[in-house]
Amino acid sequence: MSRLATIPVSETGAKASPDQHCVLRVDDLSLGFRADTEVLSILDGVSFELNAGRTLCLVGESGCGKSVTSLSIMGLLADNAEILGGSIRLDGRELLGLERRSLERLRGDAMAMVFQEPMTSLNPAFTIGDQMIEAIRCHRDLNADKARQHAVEMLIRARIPAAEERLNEYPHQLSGGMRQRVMIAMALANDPQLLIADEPTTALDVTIQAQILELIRRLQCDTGTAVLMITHDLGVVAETGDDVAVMYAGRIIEKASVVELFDDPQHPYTIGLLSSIPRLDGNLERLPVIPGAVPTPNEMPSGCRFSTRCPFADERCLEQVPPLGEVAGSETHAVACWKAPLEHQLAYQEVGA
Amino acid sequence: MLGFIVRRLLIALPTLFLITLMVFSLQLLLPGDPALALAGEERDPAVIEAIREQYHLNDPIPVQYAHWLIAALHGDLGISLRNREPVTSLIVDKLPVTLELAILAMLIALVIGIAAGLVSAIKKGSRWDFGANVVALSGISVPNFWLGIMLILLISVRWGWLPASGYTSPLDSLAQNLEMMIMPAVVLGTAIAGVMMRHTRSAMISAIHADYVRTARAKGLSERVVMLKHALRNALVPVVTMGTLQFGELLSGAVLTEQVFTIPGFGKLIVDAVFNRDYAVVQGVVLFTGTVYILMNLLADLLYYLLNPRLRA
Ligand SMILES: Nc1ncnc2c1ncn2[C@@H]1O[C@H](COP(=O)(O)OP(=O)(O)OP(=O)(O)O)[C@@H](O)[C@H]1O
Ligand code: SF4
Ligand SMILES: [Mg+2]
Repeated sequence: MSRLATIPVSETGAKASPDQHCVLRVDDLSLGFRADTEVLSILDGVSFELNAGRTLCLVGESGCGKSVTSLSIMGLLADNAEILGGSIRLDGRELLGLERRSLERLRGDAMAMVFQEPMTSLNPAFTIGDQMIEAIRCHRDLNADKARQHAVEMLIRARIPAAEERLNEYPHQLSGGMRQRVMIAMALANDPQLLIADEPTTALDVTIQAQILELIRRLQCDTGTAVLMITHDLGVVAETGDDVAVMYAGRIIEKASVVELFDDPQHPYTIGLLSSIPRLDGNLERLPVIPGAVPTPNEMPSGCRFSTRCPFADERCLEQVPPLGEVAGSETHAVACWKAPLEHQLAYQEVGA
Repeated sequence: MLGFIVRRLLIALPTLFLITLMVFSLQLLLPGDPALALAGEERDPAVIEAIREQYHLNDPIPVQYAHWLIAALHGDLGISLRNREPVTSLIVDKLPVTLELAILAMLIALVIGIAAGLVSAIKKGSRWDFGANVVALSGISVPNFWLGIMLILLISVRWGWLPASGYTSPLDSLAQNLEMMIMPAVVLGTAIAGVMMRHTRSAMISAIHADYVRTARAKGLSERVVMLKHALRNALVPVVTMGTLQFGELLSGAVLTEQVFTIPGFGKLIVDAVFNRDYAVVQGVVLFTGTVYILMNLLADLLYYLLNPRLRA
C-alpha cells in the first residue's frame, strides 16, 4: 500500500514498535453524572492499559459503564458528566483536562471510534465521500483529489465493493454492514494509534458480525493499531481479544489475558457470565445463570458491587470494596473479590445446570 | 423526481378546482343583481339585458362557471367595477409591491429566526435561550397591526426617523423605497421569525443529540463545523419547508400591515375591493393568491424532497 507515503506521520509521535509500547493507560478513573442535587457515581476506579497492536476487550452487561468509559477517552461525554478523579493517557499524554482544541486535534487522528449504531452514525444529508474526505482533510494537509484517492483506498481496504461509486452514495443506500465498514474505513483513515470499537457488531446480523470482526482484526494486523473492543458478548472476546477486562457496575472486577479468563475465571460474576455462554451442544436453557439485577447508580452497595447477587457474599463483602489484586501465579491476571481464589467454582456452575 | 412532481401536481389539481368553485360561487352569494351593479348609473332595461348577455348572466350556472373558468385560464379575470380596469392588470400592478414586501420580510425572518434558534438550541437552558424564547413568543403573540402602529408612533411620529406611510417604487428611488418598506417588513418578518426560531430550535436540539453529530465530533471536527454543517444541515429541512409556506402566506397579502402602512399591495387591493363590493377584484385576488399558495405548497414539498437524500433514492 502506498498509503504511508501519502500520509505524513502524525505529529503526536511516531508509531513505536508494537508489543511493549503503551498506547492507552487509564488510571483510577472515576466519573459520575449530575442529577438534580447529587452526582451519581457511574465509574469507580477504572484502570487498564493497552499496548500497540493489541486488542483489549472491555466486557460487561448493559449499563455497566462501557460506553461511558470509551466516551470519556474520546472526550465525548454528555455535558452532565463529571470526572471525579483519575487519569487517561494516550501515548503518554494526559487527556483529562485537555482544552477542547487540543482534544479535537487528537480525535479522528491519534484516536478514533466506531459506534454501535451503523444505521444512524453517518449523516444522512451527505455522501459517503463527503464524510470521509472531511475526516481525512480535517487532520491531513491533502488537496481534495488526494483525499478522495485516500478515501477510495480506505474503502477498498475495508472490502467495500465498487468503492469509487460508493463515494457518491448516501448512507441510506448502504446496508447496515456496509455502513459499519464505512465507519471503520473512516475511523482508520488517519492511521490512529487507538481504535475504540463500541459494540461494533451488536446491531448487525450474525453472519455480518463475523465479517466485521474479521475486518477489524485484519486491518489491525496491517496497521498495528491498538483496539479497545467493547462488547457484552463473550463470543466476541474469544474471537478478537488478546486481553480482557470484565466490568461490573462501573468497576473493573477482573482482568486477564483471554486464555486465562476462559481457562480459569476467578470472579463469581465472570464465572457466571462464562457459564451463561450457550454451549456448542446447543443447551440454550442455561442462559440466564446469574439471578438478580445490576444495582442502579443511586443504590450502589458500599462494599463489593456484586454483593447483591453473589452467592458467596458475607459481611466483609457488604462493607469493604475488594481491591483488584493479582492472582497467584500470573502477572497478567487480577481479580477484585475477597473470596478469590474461589474453591466453590464447581458448586456455582451447578446453580445454572 | 419527475414522477414525484407529477404526483404532487395531480394532488394539487383538485384543490385548485375547489378554489375556483368557491371563488366563482362568491358572485352567486352576493346580494343584488350583478347586471345592475355592472350597469352603474344606467337604468335602461335594454342596456341591462345587453349586459346580461355579454356576461352570460342568463345562462345556467354551470355554463356561467365554464365561461368564467375558461376566461380565467386565459388570464381574463373580469373588469373591476370601480375603475373599469381589467382585474388582471390590477393584480400585475400590485404584485411587485407585495412581492418586495414578502421578500424583505422573509429575509428578516430567516436571518433572525435561524440565528436565534441556533443560539438557543446550542445554549439550551441558558439566559440566551430564555431571552430568545421570550422574544420569539412576543413576536408570535403581538398582533402585527399593533406592532406596526407602535413603530409608527415611536420611529416616525416621535423620532421622525422614517416615513410613517406611503410607497415609492424601487425603480424611482431604492433608498426611499427601502425607507418606506423597512418598517412593514420588520413587522411581518419578526412575526415569522418567532415561528422560525421555535422550529429551528427544536429541530436543532434533536439534531444535536443525533448519532451522526457524535460521529462528526469523533472525527475531530471543530464544534463550529459540527454545528453549522452537520447539525444545521439536517435541522434546516423542516425550517425551509415551513419558511416556504410562510412565504406563500405573505404573498397572499398582509392585509392589516399593508393597511396600517398604506402600502398599495394585495392587502390594500383586496380591502378596497371588499369595501367597494368590487367582486371581480375580490374573486381575482382570491383566485390568484390561492393558486400561489398551492404552488408554494408544491415548492415546499419539492424542497423537502430535494433536501432529503433519503427520499431521492
Ligand atoms: N448522560 C447521562 N446522564 C446520566 N446517566 C447516564 C448518562 N449516560 C449514561 N448514563 C448512565 O451510565 C450508566 C452506564 O451507561 P453506559 O452507556 O456506559 O452503559 P454500557 O455499558 O455501554 O451499556 P450498553 O451495553 O447498554 O451500551 C448507565 O446506568 C446509564 O444510565
Ligand atoms: S467480594 Fe464477596 S460479594 Fe464480591 S464477588 Fe467476591 S465473594 Fe462475591
Ligand atoms: Mg454502550
